[in-house]
Amino acid sequence: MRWMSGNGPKWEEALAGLALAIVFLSVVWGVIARYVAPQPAVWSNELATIGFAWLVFLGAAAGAKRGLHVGVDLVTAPLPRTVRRWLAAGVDLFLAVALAYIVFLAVKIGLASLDRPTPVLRLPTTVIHAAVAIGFASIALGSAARAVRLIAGRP
Amino acid sequence: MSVVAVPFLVLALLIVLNAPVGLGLAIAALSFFLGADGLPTQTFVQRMVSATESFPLLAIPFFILAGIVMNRAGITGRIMHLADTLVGHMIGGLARVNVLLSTMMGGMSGSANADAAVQSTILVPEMTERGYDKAFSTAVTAFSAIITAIIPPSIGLILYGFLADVSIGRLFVAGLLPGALICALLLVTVGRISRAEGYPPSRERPARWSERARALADAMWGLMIPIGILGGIRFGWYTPTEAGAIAVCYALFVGLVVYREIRLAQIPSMFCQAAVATAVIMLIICAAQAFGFFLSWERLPTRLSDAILALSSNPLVILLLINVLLIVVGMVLEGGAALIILTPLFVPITSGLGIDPVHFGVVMVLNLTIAGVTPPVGTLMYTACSITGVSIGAFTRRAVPLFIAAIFALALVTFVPAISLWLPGLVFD
Repeated sequence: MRWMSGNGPKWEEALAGLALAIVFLSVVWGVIARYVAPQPAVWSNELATIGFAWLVFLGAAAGAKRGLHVGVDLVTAPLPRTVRRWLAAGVDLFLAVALAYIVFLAVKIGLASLDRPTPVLRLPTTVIHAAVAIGFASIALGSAARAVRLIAGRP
Repeated sequence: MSVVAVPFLVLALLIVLNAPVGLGLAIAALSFFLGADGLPTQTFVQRMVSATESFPLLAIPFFILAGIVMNRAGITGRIMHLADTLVGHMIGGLARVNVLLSTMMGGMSGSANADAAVQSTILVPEMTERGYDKAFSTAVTAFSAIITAIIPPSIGLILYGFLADVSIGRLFVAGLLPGALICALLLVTVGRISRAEGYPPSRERPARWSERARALADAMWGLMIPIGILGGIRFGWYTPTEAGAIAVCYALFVGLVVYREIRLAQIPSMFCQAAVATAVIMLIICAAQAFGFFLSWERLPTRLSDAILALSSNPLVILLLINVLLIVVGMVLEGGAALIILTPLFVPITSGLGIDPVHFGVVMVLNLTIAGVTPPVGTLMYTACSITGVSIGAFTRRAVPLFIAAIFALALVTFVPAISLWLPGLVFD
């Protein structure tokens, strides 16, 4: 699987790509079923939106590992290198803690939603909150690891 | 200190300290939910995921994926050749090709960032080799991407339609003439600059009509896409989201069967690339949804509406005020985030004054897309500069005439509603 080789964020990216494939096939099948099948595929929209949540939060984690999320370095860029390093470490530590709290909230609401099924597929709505928890957990761990590297002075 | 100020302060601090904008917005919104009385903190998670539960927003990954597939399928290259046969013989040929390519690709891909990235990679090195100033080439690339963002399919228009509950089909058609207007103004501007600086044509003599016809026939598979998208939506065959999925199927068919430039093994990597590109945009949108909830909870839209209407009730004055405010906000906040936060604030005001929501949508999306090329926060500018290696300072200096052209287009679109409303009236009514 050449597309998964290299040093990129493999599993997050692969899962986000898979989620997009599920979203795509669901929507395409929804259109085909409307014109071809005896009755429309009522499940297709629901599966597509569940897949969308996984695409977004796993993809966001992959984007974080690749450094694709936009920031504004207008104020920090002119600062001396050491100050910049410590500031970046501080921001990463803060992000790790705040995002870990979001993971906690997502797990809490996910557990509370175990007996709340989705309207058509009757899946627990936890399946959506799980995407938030896993995606943000990956970003939080990445931020913490980067903070440690910055504090230790490693590239 | 007022509790209302806390999320704004958290957001400002995180942005100043170079935290990712999407995460900064999410944490700023979280700070509100932590302090809000009578609101469970978990509501924050529900607000974050609410954007992903929207079927109309599913169009975003599809039009991004369609753009990626079209680049690999060889559609972009053929359309570039067509643009070259049309304007390549003029002074500053490649700069004009740059603008025209964005216009034609705008009808197929929904992402201005993707357009800026592709043209920064393909066209800027070639322009530099032919003696163009690199900062100028980068500025032309970033500014021409504005056209991609306004010509349908457009992520900004999809977002606005979802937030303001306006027909995305109508918005798509409304974006056509403003897109053509910016194209014309940018073509004139780059032509003048090229003449003053002596940039050469990209071909020695004008292409013969037979060559142009061949290039047109060769690019026809790609050029059919916008017609299929808008036609299908107009006749009710499919929704804008489904149109995105069908555009992907079509581009895959062209790449695999017609041009044979895509191999099956490449498809998974295209899906992964599109998923990550979508997620980077959608994280900001999801976080902005949570932040927008804070604004509504604190009744800030009503307060802002009262404050603005106290200044004037003349629709033209209000449009001018909103445009100035959007330009300022767009300089410090990413365009997508600003769109999500400000649409629910402004639409009730403008609709109350009798301004057509379709017209206002085009004005707002165009304004916030222009924000993408203005420092300090401009995603189109960052995308183009990071690929070409041009500094923000050099970019900004060369961007001034193009910025004036873009603002002139914005003023025309704002104060002449027919530019946005004539075509939708013709097509839908």
